[in-house]
Amino acid sequence: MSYYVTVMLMYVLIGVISAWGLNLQFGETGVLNFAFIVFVAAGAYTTGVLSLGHPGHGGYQQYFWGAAWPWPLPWIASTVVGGLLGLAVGAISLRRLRGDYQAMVMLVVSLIATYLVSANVGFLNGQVGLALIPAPFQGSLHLSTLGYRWFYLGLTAAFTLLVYEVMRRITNSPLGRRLRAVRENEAAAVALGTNVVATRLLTMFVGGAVAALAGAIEVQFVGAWAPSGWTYPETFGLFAAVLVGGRGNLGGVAVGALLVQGLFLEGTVLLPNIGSPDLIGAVQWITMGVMIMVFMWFRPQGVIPERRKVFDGGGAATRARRFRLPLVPSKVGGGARG
Amino acid sequence: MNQVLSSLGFGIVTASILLPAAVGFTLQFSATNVLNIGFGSQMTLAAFMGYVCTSHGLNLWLALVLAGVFGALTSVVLNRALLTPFLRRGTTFFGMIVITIALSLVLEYSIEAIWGPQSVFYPLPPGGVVHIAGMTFTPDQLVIIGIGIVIALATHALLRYTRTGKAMRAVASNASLASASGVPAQRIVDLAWLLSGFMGGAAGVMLGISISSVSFTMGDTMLIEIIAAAVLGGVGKVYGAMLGALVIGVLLEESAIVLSGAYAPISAFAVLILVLLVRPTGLFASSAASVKGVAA
Amino acid sequence: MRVVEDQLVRQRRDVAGARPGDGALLVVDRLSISFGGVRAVAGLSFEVPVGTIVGLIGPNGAGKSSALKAIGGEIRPESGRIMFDGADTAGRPAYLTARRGLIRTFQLGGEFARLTVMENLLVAVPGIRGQTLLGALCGRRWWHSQQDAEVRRAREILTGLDLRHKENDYAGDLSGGQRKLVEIARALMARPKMLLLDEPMAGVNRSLARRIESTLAGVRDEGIAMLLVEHELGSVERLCDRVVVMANGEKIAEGDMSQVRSRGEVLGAYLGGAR
Repeated sequence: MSYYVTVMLMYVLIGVISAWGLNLQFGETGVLNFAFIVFVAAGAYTTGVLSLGHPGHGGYQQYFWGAAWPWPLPWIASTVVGGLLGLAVGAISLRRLRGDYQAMVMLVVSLIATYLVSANVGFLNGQVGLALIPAPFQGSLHLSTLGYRWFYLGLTAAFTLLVYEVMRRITNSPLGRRLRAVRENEAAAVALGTNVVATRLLTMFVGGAVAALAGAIEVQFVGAWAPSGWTYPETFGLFAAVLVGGRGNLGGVAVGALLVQGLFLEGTVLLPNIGSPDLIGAVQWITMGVMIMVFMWFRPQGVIPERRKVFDGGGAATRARRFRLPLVPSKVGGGARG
Repeated sequence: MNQVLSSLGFGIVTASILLPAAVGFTLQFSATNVLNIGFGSQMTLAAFMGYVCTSHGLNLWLALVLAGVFGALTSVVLNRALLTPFLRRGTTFFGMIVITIALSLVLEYSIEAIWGPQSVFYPLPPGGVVHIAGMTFTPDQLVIIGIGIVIALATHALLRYTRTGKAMRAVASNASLASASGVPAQRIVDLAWLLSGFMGGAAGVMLGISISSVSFTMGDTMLIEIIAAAVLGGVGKVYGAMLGALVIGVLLEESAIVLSGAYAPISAFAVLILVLLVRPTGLFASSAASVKGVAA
Repeated sequence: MRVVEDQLVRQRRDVAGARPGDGALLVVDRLSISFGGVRAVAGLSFEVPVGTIVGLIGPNGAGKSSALKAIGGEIRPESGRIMFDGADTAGRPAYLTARRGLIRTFQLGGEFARLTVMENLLVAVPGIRGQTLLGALCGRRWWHSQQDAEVRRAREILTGLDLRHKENDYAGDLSGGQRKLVEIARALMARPKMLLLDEPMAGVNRSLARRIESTLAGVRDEGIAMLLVEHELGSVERLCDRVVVMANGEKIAEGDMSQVRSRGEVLGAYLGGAR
């Protein structure tokens, strides 16, 4: 039971970190990054390759480069790779395209990435993927399997707090305001001197880095990583977490990740044996789909909606009243509305 | 040269499947301004309905038509029962995308729940091959190409020459103006979804015939190809979607000559991205879009 | 009504002092704009001197909005120059022109709907600390005192517009007239040298129009120049120091409103040219 709890908590924390990264891009800045899972995968592969050591001498896995760097170097490398990849993808898809085109191009990019990795065996071991990836300090700490899991969980929790702090500083600062301005009304942001393209690239960079970190953490927990685990629909699961929990709100998004990732893992255990694992998996996804629709209908602003930022006498932003989502676009002019 | 030709043959088949699918996808977008991520799974569902028909002994091509009809009906119902209520509440464009994502999850995994994860098959009639202009086709492939051509011509005829078609174009470009001018917008929208559902359903069966199997995930990759074709021609432009389907379909196959098999699809998508970098609104760019030359 | 700080008055002197000669902040020189073969603006030339309000008027379809959009950088002109504060901005990215002090307002839908009024204003502040990634990561200590100062400045502006009590409302929840005021307030927060106003009186009732007029007059007195596209000719007459009259994409008259309004071409354009 305790073992199971560690697994669930790990997936929740990984999901929370990922969701915060997506929230920065989608919730704060309005970038529909439908290729988000690619950045998670990039982080996972980077850490994998940098932890496995050199391929070759009869090893059955093929991948490029290979090293056995000590922790935390692989994680740092993953974060950098994720950030740079975010910039690259952003530069391609975000510069001149309209919002709906951007979204579709991102989907296409996600598929391209899957193809690229699957097709080239020498790159990242193709369809089979990487396996037997060692976890940090596993040999040196003399802990039981369960004990190590708790250690790793603690490590992950620490990084979760770190990511939280980074996100909090960004969203509460003038930078966060700039991101939201770009989200709300790009043309107005431009008219006030905001370099919208640079702003979007910035969120791709930071969001990509955070996604990659989540991937790095996950890959050393699971020990393996293959293309079947990061197909483009995976991104949709994270979008569900962000939307259900409350986009633009760190606590809300965390709740969303808890619900979406947690609900599924709970669901697997609690569901009676109604059939094959496939059936259970299918029911999970159906439930997620229905849940998304229900939330979008009854609570489109999310479980914990974005909070209104109020400035006190001295100008500090504090917590405030609940946010009332204007469902009708503001371009409908005139008429006093409160 | 042989390879180029034979790949071209496959390319034409693929394009013939993509064309109705891409046109269907585009019709939905131009009628309701919703990017329907669930379209691939709608196609898959219709394909499975076709399977149900054939497993009860019905003729394959009749099953295709029935699948198309099924697709048409489910399409209209989905629009009326799911998408329209959300649109009426003022859900944003991106919110609607998320809803269609949810829809695709529900449809796709319901299919898996009912029929399981393994593939099912249509009973394909045995038959020889036909040689045309240096390319080799099986009879089913020829029928598929034929269906593709018929749908393309019928769509063109509909849009160009019928009042309904003109009404659809009017609704697509300015719905409120159209309805103010007496066009029954709701009926036109229903019709658009009906047609797109039919085309999607037919394309789903055609795909199942072409790749010789029908599985619950077959819509996933297809969806991206559809989107690529639709975007290449310009989102919301039906003729653009047709052209896009042709380009993407042929490219998907031809690139297999130059690149090894697994890489081939990448080239088609890479072409899409290249085109968008140069012409951000697709091949059929409108003049208003090109005025915005200064990137912010 | 003191809407802006001394800093801006100093800025006006700098701007006036630095000008090499004629004191024109904006010089539009033979501007031409086409949309897919249709000529919207042809050979438009005029100037906006420092500290004046120039009105751009004319019947519908005269090309006024297109001209305004090109000046603001939203669209790229076919030919001609647009000199703002000594540099050619034609075809340059709009956000750069805005950073140089040329701020435009929107006729409709320019507000950030799900940001509060105060946040709307704060977004406009140029070069605020904490809006780069590093600045944000440094934490509150790095940027909050400057933000506090800007909040106080914003509150002064809002008080002057009688909007202080709406400070924490979402901009999208305000009435149309209030949103227009927020537009103007926000533009002022950006420390502009010049404003481009796209029909600020459109759809506005008389008393609000008067309020906007007196606000703009006050803004002009603080040294900020304005180019105003407007149909409400009464406001134009009260506010503008000069007007430029356009019809069919060309300038047909220029000068004082009283001089211009009785000229034959102008009357003809309004009576006959309305498309």
